[in-house]
Amino acid sequence: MILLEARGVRKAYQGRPVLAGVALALEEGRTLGLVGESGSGKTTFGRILMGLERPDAGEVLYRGAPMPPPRTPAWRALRRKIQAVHQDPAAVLNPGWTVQEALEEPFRVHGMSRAERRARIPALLDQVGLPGAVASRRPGELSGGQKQRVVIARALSLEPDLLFADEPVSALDTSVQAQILNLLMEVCRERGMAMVIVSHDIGVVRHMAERTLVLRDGAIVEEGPSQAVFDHPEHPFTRALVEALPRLGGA
Amino acid sequence: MSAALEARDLGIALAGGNPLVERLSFDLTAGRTLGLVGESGSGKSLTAQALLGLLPADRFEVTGSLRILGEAPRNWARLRGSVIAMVFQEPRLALNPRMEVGRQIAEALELHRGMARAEARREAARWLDRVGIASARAEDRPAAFSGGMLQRICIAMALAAGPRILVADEPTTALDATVQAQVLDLVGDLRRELGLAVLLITHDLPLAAQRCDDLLVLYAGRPMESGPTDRVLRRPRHRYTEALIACARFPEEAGTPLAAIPGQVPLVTPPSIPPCVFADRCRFAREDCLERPYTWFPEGHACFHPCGEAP
Ligand SMILES: Nc1ncnc2c1ncn2[C@@H]1O[C@H](COP(=O)(O)OP(=O)(O)OP(=O)(O)O)[C@@H](O)[C@H]1O
Ligand SMILES: Nc1ncnc2c1ncn2[C@@H]1O[C@H](COP(=O)(O)OP(=O)(O)OP(=O)(O)O)[C@@H](O)[C@H]1O
Ligand code: SF4
Ligand SMILES: [Mg+2]
Ligand SMILES: [Mg+2]
Repeated sequence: MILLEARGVRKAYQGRPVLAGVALALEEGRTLGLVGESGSGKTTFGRILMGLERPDAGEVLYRGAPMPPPRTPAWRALRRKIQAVHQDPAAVLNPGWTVQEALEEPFRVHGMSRAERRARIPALLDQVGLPGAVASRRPGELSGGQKQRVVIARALSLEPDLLFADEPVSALDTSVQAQILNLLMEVCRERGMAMVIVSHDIGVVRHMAERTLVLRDGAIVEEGPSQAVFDHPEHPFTRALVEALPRLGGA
Repeated sequence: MSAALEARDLGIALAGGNPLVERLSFDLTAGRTLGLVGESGSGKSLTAQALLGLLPADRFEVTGSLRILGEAPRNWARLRGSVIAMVFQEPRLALNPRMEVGRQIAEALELHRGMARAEARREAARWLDRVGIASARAEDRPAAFSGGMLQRICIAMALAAGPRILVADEPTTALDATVQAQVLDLVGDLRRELGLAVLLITHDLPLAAQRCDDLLVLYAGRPMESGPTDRVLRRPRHRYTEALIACARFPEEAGTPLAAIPGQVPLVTPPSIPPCVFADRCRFAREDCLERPYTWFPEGHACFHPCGEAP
């Protein structure tokens, strides 16, 4: 069954076109990669897919029904099932809240008791490789990668059906990155979560996403199974992306 | 030639608390790039901030010695920006959300290079262009830019002031490979032409392999290994470096579990001079690793049973 579908999505800011008619279809439990030049519209497309923003033209369907307008009760009910890992954690973590409060909030919004909420925090932190002691800290007392992992823990906490992960491992070293990617793969496999993953790191997308869309100047220039797209790119832009990739020399 | 920046036995602790960074010594040299790598939470950003005197004295205790262009830094207001500039890990926090980005760069030029307003404005537009941002967007505020665009704006702002030393904290994590190459080529040009000394903090080992002359590997606030990039990546000596590199390659088959170092980096390093901080996660740990004090060996590492030696 198709979980998420976008058709002919267009968006402009101050008359500058950002998305020029993009489409995608994602089935339940499937993974899709989104790559493209910096500023090509990946985050904007994600915000529209999440229903956070309305497209100027085109439509987004979730389980076959149109996405309700942002911040309406119907949209809020949906949001439990659609979660996002924001590209920059500093923008979504309230600087005045402790990690504990940030992680409890989604549970509170969805009516869980205080004791129940509290009991869940240690496991949420542990799965993203953070010691329980960070619960009492505020964002200003965490490293970049620690904040990124708090945001991931929060997005997964409500067991969404769909995760939009915007550069979810961009601040993480190789070992913690592997740990987080393993977690995401596990959640997709075991709970049937579908995922749209954005990354500037082609290795990440090739490994994580079954299919990939390549976005350039607001249009999809290439689309297909990820391995085919990256191992045998057809569009010159995809080829340039692959060729510009720094590599670790053979040891 | 003397170092542009010299850090000796640098230590950072929360006031009255355990150390977060310890025993860190390195040089930044004109025309060269030192890469600082290591696990998330190992103290890279704190180190960067300490180099610019940015850690608030009421919260942090910074020890050791720091020399910038041969002198102990005193007048930070004069040094910051014009002599030593920083690209912060989180660009959205580094920019003023209420001011047009062109104006923010122009202000830096007026302040650090004494330019008149009109000239600074033209120069700011030129710098935006050099990092691949249409100069027509100079009038926009930070909220109107993508994550990678903000990173480039911050890089432009740091470089425009013409510093001798650049401290760049994960500056290209939101840039696709082509734009990343463009921006780092620009830094490379300035390195060659103006002798810019660079500290590049990155978790991206292939990127480090391509752009850094030397590497310094940090773990739990302590140096583990240092040396020429090629040597460190091809023949690591410290077991932690080896483990970190082993996680860097994706297997051919997609969707398969990835190798990670089991366990977590400790949140604070234990008090006094502890033994190997990596011991609880190291496959090669032996009893003496927990008993002998931290030791920096002349071969440029801090491992008691280095790679290549029979375990
Ligand atoms: N609120 C806004 N107002 C004006 N322009 C905007 C706004 N949000 C995004 N844009 C513009 O839309 C374009 C696409 O931005 P978007 O954030 O979607 O790119 P991206 O592909 O995610 O880039 P990156 O990889 O750098 O994060 C950019 O030119 C950006 O400046
Ligand atoms: N203001 C603070 N108060 C208390 N602890 C802090 C503070 N800032 C940082 N820390 C802690 O110090 C350690 C080092 O932080 P730092 O930001 O330097 O890490 P990092 O190596 O840059 O990590 P990342 O790769 O995730 O950005 C972390 O464990 C962090 O939680
Ligand atoms: S000193 Fe011992 S525990 Fe530490 S990295 Fe080396 S072998 Fe492993
Ligand atoms: Mg983006
Ligand atoms: Mg950092």
